[in-house]
Amino acid sequence: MGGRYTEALSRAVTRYLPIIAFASSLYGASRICGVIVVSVAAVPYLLIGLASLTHSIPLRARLASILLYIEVILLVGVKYGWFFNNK
Amino acid sequence: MTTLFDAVIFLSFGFLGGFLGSVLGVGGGSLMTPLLLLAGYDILTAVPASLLAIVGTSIGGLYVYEERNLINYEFAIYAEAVTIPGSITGVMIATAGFERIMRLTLAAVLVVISMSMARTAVLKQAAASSSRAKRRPVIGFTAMYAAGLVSALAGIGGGILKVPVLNRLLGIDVKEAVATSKLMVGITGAASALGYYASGYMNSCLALSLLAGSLVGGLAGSSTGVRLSGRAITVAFSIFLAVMAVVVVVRG
Repeated sequence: MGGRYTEALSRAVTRYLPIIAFASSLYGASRICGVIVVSVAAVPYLLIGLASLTHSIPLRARLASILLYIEVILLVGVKYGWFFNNK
Repeated sequence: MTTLFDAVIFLSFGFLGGFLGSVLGVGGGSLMTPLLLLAGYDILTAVPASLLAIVGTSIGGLYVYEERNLINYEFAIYAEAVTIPGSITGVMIATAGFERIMRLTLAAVLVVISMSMARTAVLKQAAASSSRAKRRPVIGFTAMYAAGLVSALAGIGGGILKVPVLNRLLGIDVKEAVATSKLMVGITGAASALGYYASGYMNSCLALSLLAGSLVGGLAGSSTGVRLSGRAITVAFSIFLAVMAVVVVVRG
């Protein structure tokens, strides 16, 4: 079943991320912390992507999942000024 | 700078929020955000950190629900398609400095949902655990947009709104709604967290400390949460909402 992949990813994150997150927090390097923050924020989208590929969900839901990625790219893009010159 | 003391304190807050959030089917941010505010951090530091921790809580408890095949991915995707624009709006408003109004709005929403859930659990016990309400998709998806907005502004996952909306307006069974909300909370939290990070409001190291605690807490709480009956979850959830409504008003 496709759920196996989602489950494995969720378990892996649960098992290793607390140590990585707390260690990097103690180390205190903001650049390293930033990379981990962005990686963690990407995990739910990875889970949705995996689910839309492996679970038996309708095609229109799979297409709708693409919309989620577009929305987040727009959000980050607007904040970073990719589309408008903010400053 | 993040000191060892700060890291341990936020690890503890994260654990508490993760555990309770997992048991009650919410992101835990409604507990972590007030705690961070009480610890003396300003709201634009507390909210993004709490949102990242919510992502950890969501991921941490997810596989338990996945094992039981309780997550409705189809509804999660449709609902998130409107929730994320809500969180985008919330990030835009928060970074412009309108959090006071949202605190009061959030408190009002918490009170209304808490009273509604409590009435269902106490007066119509059978209907709360197993019935599927008549679907009202337009109202439901509008409420999901509001959930995204409230999530981004108040530093909560929005599960407090999503579970009742999924259950009452989109016709999903309460246990399935809790599991689906668990995933949705992570997606909404991640979108808002990325927005705050891109805006330069995220204290990354502090947020990671909170995240580590919430992951461990979520893991501990999720095994307890799935053993509760639908009615028990509903009752616990309504009490939790009422308490948090007071906290939201007091911290403002």
